[in-house]
Amino acid sequence: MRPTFDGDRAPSGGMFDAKNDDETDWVLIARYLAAEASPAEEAELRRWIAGGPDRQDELAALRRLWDQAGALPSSSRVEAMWQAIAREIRASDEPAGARNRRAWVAVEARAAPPPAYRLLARRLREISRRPAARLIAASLAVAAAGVLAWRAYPSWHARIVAMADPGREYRTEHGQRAEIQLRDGTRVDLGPASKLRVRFSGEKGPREVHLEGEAVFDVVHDAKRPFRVHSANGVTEDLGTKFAVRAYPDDDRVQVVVVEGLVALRPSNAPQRSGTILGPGQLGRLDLAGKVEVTSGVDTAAYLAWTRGRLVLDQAPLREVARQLERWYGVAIEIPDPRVAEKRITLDIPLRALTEALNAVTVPLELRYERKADSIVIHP
Amino acid sequence: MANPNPLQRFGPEWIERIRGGDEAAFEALFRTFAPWLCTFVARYVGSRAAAEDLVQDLFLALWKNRSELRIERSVSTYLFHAAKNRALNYLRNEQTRERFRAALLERSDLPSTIDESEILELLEVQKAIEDLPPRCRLIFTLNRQQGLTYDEIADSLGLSIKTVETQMGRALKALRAKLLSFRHS
Repeated sequence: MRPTFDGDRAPSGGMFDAKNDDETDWVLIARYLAAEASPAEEAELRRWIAGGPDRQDELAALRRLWDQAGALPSSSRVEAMWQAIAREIRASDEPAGARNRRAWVAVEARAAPPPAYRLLARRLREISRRPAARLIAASLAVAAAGVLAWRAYPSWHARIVAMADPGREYRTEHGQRAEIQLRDGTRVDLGPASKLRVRFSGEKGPREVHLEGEAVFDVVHDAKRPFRVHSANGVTEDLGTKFAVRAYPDDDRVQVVVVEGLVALRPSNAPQRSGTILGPGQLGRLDLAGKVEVTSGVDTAAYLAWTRGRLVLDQAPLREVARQLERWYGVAIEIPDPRVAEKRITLDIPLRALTEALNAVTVPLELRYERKADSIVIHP
Repeated sequence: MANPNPLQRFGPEWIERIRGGDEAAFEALFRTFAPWLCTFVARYVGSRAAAEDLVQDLFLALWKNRSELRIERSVSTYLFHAAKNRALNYLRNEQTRERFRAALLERSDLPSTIDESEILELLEVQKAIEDLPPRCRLIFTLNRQQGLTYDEIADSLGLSIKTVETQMGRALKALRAKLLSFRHS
């Protein structure tokens, strides 16, 4: 039974004049434009077109509208693009050559880097196993070269841009991020002290990755090749999305935040087509017992702030803040007094010098910190 | 009544501000044009990711050389020409040439620019989609922007195909009412 749309006011000059037109089957037209129509439905549409003088033109206009709706870029990409540009222009007193992120450049950190940083450089070259070559910007040239390139920020946080072959493991140290582009075009922003193992089964099978730590995934959706993130006791499956997963070994749950699209989050031992669906702005937490708790309307920008070089936390207890700082700065932070550890703070700070971060935390709460040989201790 | 043209504010005074190093003015220019430039470049190079890189490079170069910035014609025309040049250079690159030779031949009929009227249309479409009721918008964008089929959407959201169909029909009807009548008037 086709729905009718009488009672709609016809727009002036419009072709679907409710007075002259008996019925307009929007469901049918949408199915046709979405390439979901069966041959019988297409025949029906043709009959409808033949039934009125302007319908062919109208359909063409609708087709154009349909195409335009599909051509719109997503707003989250614009934000990410702007942040990347803003970072570059704010540090733009560098000579032009050093800024070319497409060349393989030797690292020249401006501040003295900690020794671990240089060790990491050597370690990453070993992981790469291929001679350093000019890094090609295009994601489509990915398959041709597995290349690592460096770009040092003014601080000692390094960003590695890697073009990945599936089957590799990527590891970041504390304070480090990696942007990894997989052969299928999916982009992964890997957080600090994290490990990502990529396991794609050839060109046809499911795309599985294993994550320990934190990452943001911008997945190229392919219904025939499901993209799954295995972490701790959970599996997050892409349904057409951009989402963040956090599952550090010292966390007591897997946390997933969805920016765009949908994911399904389920315990590892649950059947494949099951799981809790999370949509944009939703936060899912999978606990050790396999239960998923969903919060809607979260500020996704806060959860992804680290991809823009910022740490954003809303009324987080100090022990949680300390854990985050440990991952970003590679220092141990102790809070001997349990009451102090439970104090809450809201932060929105750039991930720059450690002292800046410590001040941002201790000053508002009227605490102080003490640097010891191997750690930092926070006191009242 | 037509919306005021958001592109008209990028006139000579705006360019002057950018020449003088006004980052906020530059950001506004970027945020307005970058999405459409990406769509435009992606038609040439076949990849959104590559398109984004090229557009970013374009704006970075613009900023770096801002003191010499001189835009005689409209800002749109300038930006789209620059974007097209970068896209063509990218395609001519040795390493990508082989893969894209066939694509390049196919694309010889691409428009040389997107003019302001097309950008305005796309902005209207975007606004009209944002005005859809939430569930309708979610289903519509999953189909049009994420490329999910009706089956996939129904499965993912736990809905019947009928519901998905109805919502898609509603979205189409709403968009048509908002957009096509405006264009024909």
